[in-house]
Amino acid sequence: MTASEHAPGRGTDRAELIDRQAVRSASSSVTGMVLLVASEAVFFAAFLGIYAVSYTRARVWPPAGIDTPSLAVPTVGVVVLLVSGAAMARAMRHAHRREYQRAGTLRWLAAALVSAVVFGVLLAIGYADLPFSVGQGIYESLFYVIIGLEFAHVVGGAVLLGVVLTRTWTGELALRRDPIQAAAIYWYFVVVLGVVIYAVLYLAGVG
Amino acid sequence: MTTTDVLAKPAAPRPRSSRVLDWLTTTDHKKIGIMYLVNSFTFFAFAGVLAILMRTQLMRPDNNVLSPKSFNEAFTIHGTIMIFLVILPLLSGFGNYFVPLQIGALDMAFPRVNAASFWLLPVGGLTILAGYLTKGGPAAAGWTNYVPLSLQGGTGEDLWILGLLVVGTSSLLGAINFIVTVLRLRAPGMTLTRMPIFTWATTTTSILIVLAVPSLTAALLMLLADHHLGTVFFNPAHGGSVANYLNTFWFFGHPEVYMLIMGAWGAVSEIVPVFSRKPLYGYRFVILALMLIMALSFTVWGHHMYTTGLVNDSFFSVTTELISVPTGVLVLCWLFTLWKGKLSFEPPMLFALGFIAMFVIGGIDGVWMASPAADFTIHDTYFVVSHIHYVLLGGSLFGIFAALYYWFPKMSGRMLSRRLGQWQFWLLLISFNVTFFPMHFLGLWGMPRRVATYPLSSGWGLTNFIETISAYVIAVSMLIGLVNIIITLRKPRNAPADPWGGNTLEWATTSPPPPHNFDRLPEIRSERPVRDLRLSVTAAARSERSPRTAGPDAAGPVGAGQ
Repeated sequence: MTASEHAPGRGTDRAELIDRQAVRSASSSVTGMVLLVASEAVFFAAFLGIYAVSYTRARVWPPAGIDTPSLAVPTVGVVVLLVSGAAMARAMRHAHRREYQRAGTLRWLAAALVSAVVFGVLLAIGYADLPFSVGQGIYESLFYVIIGLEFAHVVGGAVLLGVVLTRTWTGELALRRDPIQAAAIYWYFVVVLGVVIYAVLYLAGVG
Repeated sequence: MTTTDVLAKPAAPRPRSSRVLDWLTTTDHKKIGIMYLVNSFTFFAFAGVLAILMRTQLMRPDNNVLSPKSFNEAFTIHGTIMIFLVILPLLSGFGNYFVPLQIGALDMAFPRVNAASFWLLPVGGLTILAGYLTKGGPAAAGWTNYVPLSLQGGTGEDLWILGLLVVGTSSLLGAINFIVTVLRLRAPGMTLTRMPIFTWATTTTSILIVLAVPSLTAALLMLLADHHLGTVFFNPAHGGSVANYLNTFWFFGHPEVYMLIMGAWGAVSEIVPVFSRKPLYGYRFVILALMLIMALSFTVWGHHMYTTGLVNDSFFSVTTELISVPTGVLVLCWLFTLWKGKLSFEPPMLFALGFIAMFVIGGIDGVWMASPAADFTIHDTYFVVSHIHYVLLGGSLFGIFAALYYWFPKMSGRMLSRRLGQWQFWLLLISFNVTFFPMHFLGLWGMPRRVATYPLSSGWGLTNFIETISAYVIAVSMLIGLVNIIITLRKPRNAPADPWGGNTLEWATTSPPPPHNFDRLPEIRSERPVRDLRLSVTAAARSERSPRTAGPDAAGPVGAGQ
């Protein structure tokens, strides 16, 4: 027997706790995704930090005598990525309207997913065309590993977008906004990451 | 249904196979918490055997119980297992069991993710240990796994990296789960400044994990890439640098030290007030100190690299010394809690007091080492071995044992033997100090750490001999703890809901709690809701008997054990 059964005054009984847990956990996935994205940011900061340190230590950057990658494909890629982010934002707006708009949400989610896939393909093409090999130096190693990890995150994001797209299509998400919001947070992270990597590795680093 | 009904009418006993399946597939935070503890204590036994082997090798000069290669493997695996698979998961195990209870939640925010983060642990741990089955043996480059030495490792090294990636994922998922649980699932009235300190400590630990473990993951991936994909992150011949490893590893590694101790601070901050019959002195200062330490711990990683000449020693020295300020605040808050308290020396309190004393010694060592001038002398000597064992064994593990003795009745419904607990404590306290205190001297005399043996002419033989004998006594004390648990688990369940006169919500439910945790939560108006409840029950009972003497009692053990 526990003391709380004899308690004078107001407590919380079990039914109330269960209701509360159900309501409060509805937005848990969003909070969880924010934390995951925070840890992903630290993960990439480690590589970009090494990039910065290597850059400051090198006399010539990129190293003298190597072919630098072309800017064309990555530039198209980053534009496509931004389009994808914008499409995701539109999808969110449709999902959050007072009257849930399944068709609009679906359309813009599909647009975000298609442009995500296109970006992934462009990234892969740029990767295959890199004019140097991974072991030549720290510049080359960083280039391959950072772009490779970015590609992995684009694939993960595309899978996530595919999942919420399917669940919107089946009508599962008519009453829940948190999965789509969580997917959006992850995808915005990938978009920002793509822009930062483009700026650092291509715009500033190719020279 | 009241709690008594639950106790009076146990479910019909079910076949054993179904009960096993229950444990394997459970998403109940309490069962997962217990599995964390069992898993970690199993790894603890393995790491303990390695420690005993190492001490046996070092017992005499020019000994050859272990070959130098086996010795390197032993200290590598001992350190890795103790840090990643024993201390941190033990604290997570207590966190899993008690954070939802302490905040009045029914479970963690993501129960299935919680199960996943547990099951990744044995997978990762066994992956690391699988190195023993490979031809070249397991990883042997120390738990810090410095390059270029670690890059010369074979399959065992790869298994070490893969295993740690899995363990890191487990911690990260667990940490996100804790933070979301604390943010989203607190009971009505449980504001952040009424949250128990153990829950606070688990939260700050989790924030450290979220922001630091990715740096370890990055370091491990770079190691793997350098090893197999031909990248040159750590190869100075091609523009890489060993410092790239040191920086990414220690950016994780120093916050890691705080991940390993904060939970123990939290448990001690729960235990000291309960057994002093006083509120925790400076509750809000303790929270503030935890947060300050959490933030500062990201600014001190360079103090592991003083002797490399790669970092600004003065900067890192200042930040490191700064951490001792909030840490001192914690210690003072515990001491002021004890001051003029009505102390009772039950085993949890003994271990908590032992923790404070040992942690202060370890902390003072740490302040010395934070001075670059001193560190140039004691770097890589047994002084460092002594320091880390004072903070992690004398600190974290004493805290973990305090927590175990304190919460065992809640988890199992049975009280651990007081007498065996006292034996374990005193044996451990004495043998721990006899083993590790003289290591300070060995360090100052110049004995380097991580050496498989030493010559007779060094004159270190007698000290090492005494330390080894004493290390065997540590093993005996651990066996006493194990015997205590085994004996207790065979006894009937008779622990009361609140055997110690606790303050926090886990004591407001039965021992062990029902699967749904609470039938009813008391009102939460302070950081000590169960004490408030006890006082109001007593006051109500008194006013029924004699209205004139009604009034809140002093903070005595009233209502304890009802």
